[in-house]
Amino acid sequence: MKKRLVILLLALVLTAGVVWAGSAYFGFVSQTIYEESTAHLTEIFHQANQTLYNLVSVNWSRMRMWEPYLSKTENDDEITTYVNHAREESHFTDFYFISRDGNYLTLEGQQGYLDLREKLPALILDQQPIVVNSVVPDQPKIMVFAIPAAKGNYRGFEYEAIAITFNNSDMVDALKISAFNGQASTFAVLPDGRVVVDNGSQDMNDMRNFFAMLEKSESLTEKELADLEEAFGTGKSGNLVFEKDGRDYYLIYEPANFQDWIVLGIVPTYVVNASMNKLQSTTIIVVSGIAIALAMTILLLVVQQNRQKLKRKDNELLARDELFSKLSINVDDVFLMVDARNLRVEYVSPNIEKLVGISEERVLRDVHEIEHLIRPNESELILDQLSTILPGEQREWDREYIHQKTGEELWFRVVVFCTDIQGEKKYILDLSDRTKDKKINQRLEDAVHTAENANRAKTTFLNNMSHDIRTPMNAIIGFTNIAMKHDPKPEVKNCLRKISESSDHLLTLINDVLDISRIESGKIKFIPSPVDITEVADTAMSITQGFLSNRNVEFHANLAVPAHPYVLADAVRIREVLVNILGNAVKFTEDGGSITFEASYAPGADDRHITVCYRVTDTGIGMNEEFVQHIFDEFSQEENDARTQYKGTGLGMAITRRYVDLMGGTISVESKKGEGSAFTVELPLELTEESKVQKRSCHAAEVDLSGIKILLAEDNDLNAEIAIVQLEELGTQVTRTSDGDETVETFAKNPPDTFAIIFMDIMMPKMNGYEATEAIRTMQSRPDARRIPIIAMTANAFAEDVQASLDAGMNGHLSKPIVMDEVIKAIARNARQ
Amino acid sequence: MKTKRLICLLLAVLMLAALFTGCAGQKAGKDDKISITMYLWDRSMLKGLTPWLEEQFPDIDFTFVQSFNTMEYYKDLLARGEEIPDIITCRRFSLNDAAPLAEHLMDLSKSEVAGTFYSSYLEVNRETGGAIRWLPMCAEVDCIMANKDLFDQYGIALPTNYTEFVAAIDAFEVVGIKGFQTDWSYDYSCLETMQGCAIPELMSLEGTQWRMEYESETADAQVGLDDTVWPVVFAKYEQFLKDVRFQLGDEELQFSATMEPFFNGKTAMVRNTAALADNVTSERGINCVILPYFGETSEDNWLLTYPMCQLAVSNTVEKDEAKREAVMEILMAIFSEEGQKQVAFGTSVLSYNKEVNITPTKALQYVQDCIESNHLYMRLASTEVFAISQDVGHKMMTGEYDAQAAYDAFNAQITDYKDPDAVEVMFTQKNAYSNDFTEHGSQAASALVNTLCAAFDDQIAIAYSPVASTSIYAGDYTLQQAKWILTARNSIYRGEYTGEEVRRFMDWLVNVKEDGSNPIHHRNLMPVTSGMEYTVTEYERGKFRLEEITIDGKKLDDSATYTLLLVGADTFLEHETFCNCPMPADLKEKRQDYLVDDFSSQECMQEALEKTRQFLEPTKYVTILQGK
Repeated sequence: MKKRLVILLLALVLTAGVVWAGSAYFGFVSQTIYEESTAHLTEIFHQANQTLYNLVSVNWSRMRMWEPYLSKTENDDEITTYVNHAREESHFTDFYFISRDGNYLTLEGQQGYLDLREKLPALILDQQPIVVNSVVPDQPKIMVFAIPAAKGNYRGFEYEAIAITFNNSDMVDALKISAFNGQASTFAVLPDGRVVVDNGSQDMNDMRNFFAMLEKSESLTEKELADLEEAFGTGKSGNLVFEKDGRDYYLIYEPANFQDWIVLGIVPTYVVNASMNKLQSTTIIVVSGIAIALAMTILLLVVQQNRQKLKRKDNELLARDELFSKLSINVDDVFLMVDARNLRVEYVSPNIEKLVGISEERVLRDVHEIEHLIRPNESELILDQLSTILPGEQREWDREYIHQKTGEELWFRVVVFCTDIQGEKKYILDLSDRTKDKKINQRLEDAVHTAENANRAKTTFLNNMSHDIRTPMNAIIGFTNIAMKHDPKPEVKNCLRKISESSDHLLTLINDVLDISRIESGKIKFIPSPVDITEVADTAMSITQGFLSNRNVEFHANLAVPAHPYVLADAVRIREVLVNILGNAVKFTEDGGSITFEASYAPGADDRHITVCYRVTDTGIGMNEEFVQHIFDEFSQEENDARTQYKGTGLGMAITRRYVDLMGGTISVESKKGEGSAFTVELPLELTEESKVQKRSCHAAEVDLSGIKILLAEDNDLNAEIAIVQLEELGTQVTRTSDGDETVETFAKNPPDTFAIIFMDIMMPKMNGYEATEAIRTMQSRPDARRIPIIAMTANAFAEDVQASLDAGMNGHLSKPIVMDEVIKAIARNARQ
Repeated sequence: MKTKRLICLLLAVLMLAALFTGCAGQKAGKDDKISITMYLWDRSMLKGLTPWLEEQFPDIDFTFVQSFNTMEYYKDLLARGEEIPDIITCRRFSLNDAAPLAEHLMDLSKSEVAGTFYSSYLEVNRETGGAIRWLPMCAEVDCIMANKDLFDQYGIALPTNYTEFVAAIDAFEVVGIKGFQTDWSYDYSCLETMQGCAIPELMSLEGTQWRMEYESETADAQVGLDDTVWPVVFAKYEQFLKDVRFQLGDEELQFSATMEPFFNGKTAMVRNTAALADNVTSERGINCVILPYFGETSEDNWLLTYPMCQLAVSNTVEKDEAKREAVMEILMAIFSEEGQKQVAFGTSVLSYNKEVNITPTKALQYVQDCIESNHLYMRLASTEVFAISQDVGHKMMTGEYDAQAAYDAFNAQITDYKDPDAVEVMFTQKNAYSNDFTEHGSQAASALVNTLCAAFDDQIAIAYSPVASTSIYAGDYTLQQAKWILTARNSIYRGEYTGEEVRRFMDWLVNVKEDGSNPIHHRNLMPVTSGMEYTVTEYERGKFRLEEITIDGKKLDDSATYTLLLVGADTFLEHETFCNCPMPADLKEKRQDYLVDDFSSQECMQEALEKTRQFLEPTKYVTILQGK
């Protein structure tokens, strides 16, 4: 539509352009012809005017020549002879002797009065030559040329002037134009348009007053007429074209150079322009012919093109029709086209019977047949909704249909499009059979459900395993530590130390297995928070130095400090990565060797990021090339005696690699058997503001906790005992409760602010730690209920467990086995608040 | 789609509507006649010209009003706040007289009709600014009308020069016939004889120069008489009066008193026109010929001429293009050969138009040499020259002035002329009455006839036609203005008639005669009655049938006797070439007397107004019905 409009507009513009160009060309040619013709005519008529003027001036000159002879000559006969001779030369009509009063005597002796009007005083008194149009009854119109003369007498008639007259027809001769086959008219007119000398052609023989004629012909505007009148009045020359009786005429006008006459030349334009017009008309015919031929060619081309286009379109349509027919038979979609005005079905695809068991004819008769497909109690009827769909909109419904012949249950997606086809609103219904999809989806959903259940079981298993292993591990490690503090015998101490080492190893094993499992199941999340990145390296270095306390290994640290060390990073994971690598370095470097730990910083991808690069090199045992390929695989350990020599799970580097990947970084290793290894970790980190970074908390050793009252909720007696012993060693006063109910009750019984902090186990009988926390926090009567610090102390060690504790309204989370330093920090941080 | 159809339908409806509207408009335009009012200087134009114009232009609704032969009449119309009628005519003309009207008249110099004139003749009427507003009709010759039969009878040769003219007069005196006589009482007789006897002087270089100067004078710069030419004119006139044997008392002679002796062979020569000479020749069988105003030699003889009339067009016509075009066509018709014949009755000597060839009539056979030698003098005809010529001429006739005194008196008046009748306010008219003709006639005419009827105590008055030549205005009236209400050249009679005779009077005035003669070919020629009302039916355009006549609402009593005042011109109705409706002889016989002997209708008006001091209320004297 839009394209057609553009083409139409272009065609219009083109046509207008051609018309304009034609018109401009025609105008140009016409103007040129006009200018050429008028210039030519002006020249011709100017000559006629000049002839007229010459006639006048020559007559005056001649009379001036004759006058001295006439005044001197007394013999009338001689005068008669002389004048007759002059008449032969000059071809005048009559010769007049004019008296002072305007009476005349002709050569032949006729007397009369020559009506010279106001010119008589000019002639007699002012001695001026005059020319005047006059009338003598029963005579043709005459033009009188008179000059003053010395007083004389002819045949007894006293005269003071002499005159010769010409019939107007003689004047006409002067104005005659031989050109234009007698179709040129010449006039001498007065400024008001009255004709004085009439040499009009047949076309102009009814002209009495030039302006009246123009006014009657109505070919000039009032202004043009007024301008022309002014030009005549002021004696200006000019030319124009006017129309009379449906014919155009050139008018050339110029003053006659005597009297106030204006000489007019009038010639039909077709006469003047005959040859030019022929040329012009031939040119126009040729150009028009070419233009028409071109237009016809273009038209034919366009028609041909359109035909081809139409044919192509027809073919396309036929092909599409065929395609659609085939498709509509074979696809699992039923298509209907329905007239919006009366819901008359204009098309229904023939596969409808196959798909839903209703014949095509039935639906063509009544579209409502398709409503029989749905269950009787189906909510809304689609056909009732059609009227709410506007052109350009579409709406979809999922419907369960019953195959009308087989009774099979089917699932259909019904899509209705509303469209406007050449001003008529139509609905296109697509009944798409989704029964197969539906069944596949159901199977998939079942599979997913099963997998989710399995995953949930795995998670539960991991959680339970973690909890259930950590709880006895807490007791083993706790009591080992307590026992060690009771100064045992050296044999016992040795046993306790081995128990402690085995416990640590077991805990590490458990942690690694759990970690790798959690990583695989997607439980581990990278949680960046604002940190001072230099502290991470410092901490890792401190830990490493702890590993080296009883080793003869040289440790070099080269830790650079960036200009802006504050970044968003998961410090725990980075530290774990570094500790893993550094721990391996310590583990696989024999005494006498050396370890170098380097930290450097480079600009990141933009000014909001930096890249931190950690490199750990050692002079350890190194790895063979084959193993290096698999170092990041789970449970990969070099097949040699190292495993027996160096205890490990074979999961450490796999976990490290997973952490680095999680943080978007890279880890690489270079190693040579017997020479050592070099691990390089590069991590991209986003910069943050200093103010957002939590300052490092104080050291536990510096804190004095004596006298602080602690409420300890712990159902496991062994764990309770360990905790109480260790807490009381710090000088605190511990009140233990065995379940959530008791904890809440104990808190409620004691006056406000009795306890500085509550350590809350989670998995307790009667009421778990979360519920107990909520019960305490919601105690309206206790002003300290909302502010008392509650710290989870649980064998639930995963990050989601930490979050669950915080969500329950607790202030912190300590996982078992408990690390006393962390406990102290927690007390110091929270109880102090 | 629907919108397109709707637009197409609307366009079609619009086109059809436009088509029908156009057709209807055209039809309406065709039915709308253009109304043109033409004021006629004299009733004689009703004779041939106006019926001919109505015949030539059936689609034009003409109103012809008989006005007056003076520019003063039109000036008064303007002073009363009227507009100049569409076409006006006036025989007495001079450029200086016409100057105050100039701004109300069209410049015809660029018109087609002006192009039909010999340019030299139109130059006389050209204003200094170049405009030509007045166009002259063909020339009338007004000289000496001689009874050729009488000359022949007494063996007296027709004179060829002044001496012979005087000798002929003397010769006729010997046989008891008045050699030359004229109606000296009229201003035009005085003017023409005064100028006629000295045409060579008036046409001398000095004479023509003075005339050009005089006719170009303005109100602020009045031109007195030339002291070279005019003393000679008065000297020659003095001699002329002696030579024609003027007798004291002759100065009161009017037309009839002059012409009766001429018709009876008691006078040999009178001053009159070629038209009348032809008329007398054909109607009375008297061989009348025109002789010139004689000079010393036959070469000095001149014919005194003047245009039949001058015609001008109101510039209000220019406001309506259709009307302007119609008027231009009418002018072309009037100045065509056929048109001028309707004005001049074929008696003209000279046409001013190139395309009109009017052959001089037989009456002009003895002045052919004058015509050929172009000795055609156009009289100086300003209003003041008419009036002063009458005044000074009469005083020369009575011996009060000699030539010098006459010159002085003329010269004094011509620079400060005031019409005595136009100076003093006679009465103040309270109510205005329009002269527009309606189905109940003209209010102005009714008021006029009611005034005459009441003033002379008559029971009934009948004016032969609407004798009012202008509306009656509220305000001051001088005698001159009052005289302009009643058309010129009417007669007033009185008689006692029965109701039956009154009915026959009306029948004579209204009904178309058996031979087709129609006294009222236009509704505005309907008689005006006072003391009596009548109804007519216009059964065909311009043809009427008298219906009922009532007096005070009662049917006219045929047996009752009434004193009846009759106002009008018999000749107009009775003359063959006018209406050809002779008054029934018995009615004419009963028409007892001129109201007063030689008492003109104008004087009658004056006397009536001196009594009433007011034009009385008009009445609905006529009801014109349309029908079959």
